[in-house]
Amino acid sequence: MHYVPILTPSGTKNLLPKNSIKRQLIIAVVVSQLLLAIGLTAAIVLYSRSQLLAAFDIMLEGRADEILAVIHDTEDETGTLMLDRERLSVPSDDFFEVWDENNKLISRSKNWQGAPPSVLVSGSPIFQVANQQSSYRGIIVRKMTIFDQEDEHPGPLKKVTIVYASSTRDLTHRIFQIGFFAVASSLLLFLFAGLFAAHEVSRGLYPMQALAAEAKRVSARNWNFNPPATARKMRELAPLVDALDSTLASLKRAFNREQQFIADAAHELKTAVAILKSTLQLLVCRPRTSVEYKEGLERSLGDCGRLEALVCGILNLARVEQRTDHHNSDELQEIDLVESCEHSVAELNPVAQARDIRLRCTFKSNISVKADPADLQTVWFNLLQNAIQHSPLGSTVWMEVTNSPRGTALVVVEDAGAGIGPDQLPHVFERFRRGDPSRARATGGFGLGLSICKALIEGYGGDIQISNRNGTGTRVTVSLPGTSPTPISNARSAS
Amino acid sequence: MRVLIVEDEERLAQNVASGLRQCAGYAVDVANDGESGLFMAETNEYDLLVLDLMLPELEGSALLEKYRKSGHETPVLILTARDEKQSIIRLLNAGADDYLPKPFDLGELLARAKALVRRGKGKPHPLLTVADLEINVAERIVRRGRTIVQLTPMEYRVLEYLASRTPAVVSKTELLEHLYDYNWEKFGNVIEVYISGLRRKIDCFSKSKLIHTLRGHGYALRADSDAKRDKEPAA
Repeated sequence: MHYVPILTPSGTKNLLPKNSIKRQLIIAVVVSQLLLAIGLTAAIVLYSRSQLLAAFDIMLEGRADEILAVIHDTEDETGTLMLDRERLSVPSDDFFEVWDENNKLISRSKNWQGAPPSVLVSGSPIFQVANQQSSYRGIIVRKMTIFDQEDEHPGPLKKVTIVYASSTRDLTHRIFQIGFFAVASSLLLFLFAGLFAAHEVSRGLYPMQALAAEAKRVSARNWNFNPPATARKMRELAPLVDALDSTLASLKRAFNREQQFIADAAHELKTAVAILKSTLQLLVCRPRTSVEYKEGLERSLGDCGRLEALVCGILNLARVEQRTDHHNSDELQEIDLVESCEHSVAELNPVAQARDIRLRCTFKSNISVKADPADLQTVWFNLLQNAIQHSPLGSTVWMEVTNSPRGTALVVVEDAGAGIGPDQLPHVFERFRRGDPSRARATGGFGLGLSICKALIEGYGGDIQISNRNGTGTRVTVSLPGTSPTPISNARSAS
Repeated sequence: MRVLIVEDEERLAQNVASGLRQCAGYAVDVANDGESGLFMAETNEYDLLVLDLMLPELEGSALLEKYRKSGHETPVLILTARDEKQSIIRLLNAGADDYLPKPFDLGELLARAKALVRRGKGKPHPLLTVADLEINVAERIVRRGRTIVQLTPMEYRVLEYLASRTPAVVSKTELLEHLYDYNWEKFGNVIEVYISGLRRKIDCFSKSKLIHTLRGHGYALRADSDAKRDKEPAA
């Protein structure tokens, strides 16, 4: 493996990691092949050796039998046995000795001092001895003498012990030959198999490398992710490709949403600053009377207030949206939902009365929810204010608190305004979105209220929905996980 | 000169309108959304359009394209809170004449507005000269010979418009179109009052008359010799 220096975004040089799947796979294949080759070679050598030794032993026994065949009687009273060396045809460099049953040496090859006594008493028919030239493998055969059938006076059969040994030099040589052949052929096969394995591993890992290269190209500037088709077809890689695909898609959406938010916020802030700046510049562009200055400064203050409200709105939204985790319900206090709603209604009543709008509340059940009271106040305040602003003069805004059978608290706010265009409905919770921009401008909204409400309610595990009423106006439904619903027998009504 | 401001942020529109009225002496109309802006631009005569980009009903860029497609040559100054180069290039190619990023400097906006109006009239120099009459449109100072002439704002507007069209004959209707904003009741005899006021202040103490009345045609601001040459074929 070679190291390729790559540049990280911070500009520092970075080396590729040392560990490589490809290398590990190739090592695993090569090692297993090597073990296989060694095992096969050893098995071949051991099996050949045992076969050769068996054959060798048979040969030794045959030669011992040959010696047995040339043992004959002296044909005198002593009955001594003797070896007819002239008829003996065993190789001259083999050793042998023949003992009779009285442990008397009958004959011994000339080039041998005799088997070591330990061999004779060991009981095993096969033995190994060595001298300076070679090592020998021998056999001890205890058999009855065989006499010629032609002999007219066959003496009593006698038991003889024949010790026969032959050099194992040839045998060892052949075993070495077989071993050499086995090792050479295994090595050759191992070489080819190794090359083939390396090639196949590289080929098999190509989709992964291509996928990694493609994934590396993705950045905040370039969200295009085109995984290679080969990676998508791999059973092991397909889930990874899918996961990357969906993660990148949602990241891209979130990133774009953030960018849109920043662009919108910048647009609103620049406009607000432009207003304030132009008001002041207009004031100083020529000499003014003190009354004019006073009026101009009051206008500037009004513009400042608008700018401040905008900044507060943006900061509020950012803070609310930053609470990524749901609230820890143990730390939250239980709030009487009806009380919370009543409080907001009381606070907004003067605003409603100024537009000759009635605020009507019906509380069908007294349910408690766990939340920060200030957060809920913000939500009710925003929803009621929206409803009041979008209602025609002299109409009624309804607020209803009830609970679903599953214990969810429901707060519904309805107005009798113009409603929301069907094309606008999916976007009402988007930041800086205004149902009717000119009207919202006229009422001084920035399109942040509903976004803040949504973030707050979702932070408590609730949900907020907005829909058009069948007749006129809009209906906002807030659902919050409730804790203890207690039905109110007589629906309370406040105005 | 008459300017149309198309801007949905009411306070900003008010400020720009006040600036153009007070510091440039222009008549100003304001539209708060794209649709009404396009309608006003196409049904009235304007010497300059000040156009915001983010507009309800009809986007500023779409308004600009439609306006140019119907053959209007009035200069257009774009106000934008987005300063992406690509969109600026696209807008200038679509027929915008200049742009200002928000938050802008009111003085700069007024200077650019004046420059665009001058260039739209084919008179890029801020000093308009007719014989020995000098009108400095940047500082709104009028001189006849060496004496500075004191004019009321409306008299100045009439003179500036006549000077910007010199030596052409300007009809009463055209003057009304370009000097009054939408909310003004347009009465032709008002113009006669301003013209006589201008004659008194500019022409009465000089031998050569510069303001000429062409019956049935309108008024012209030019040196005497030009006027004579013009009168002959008419007679």
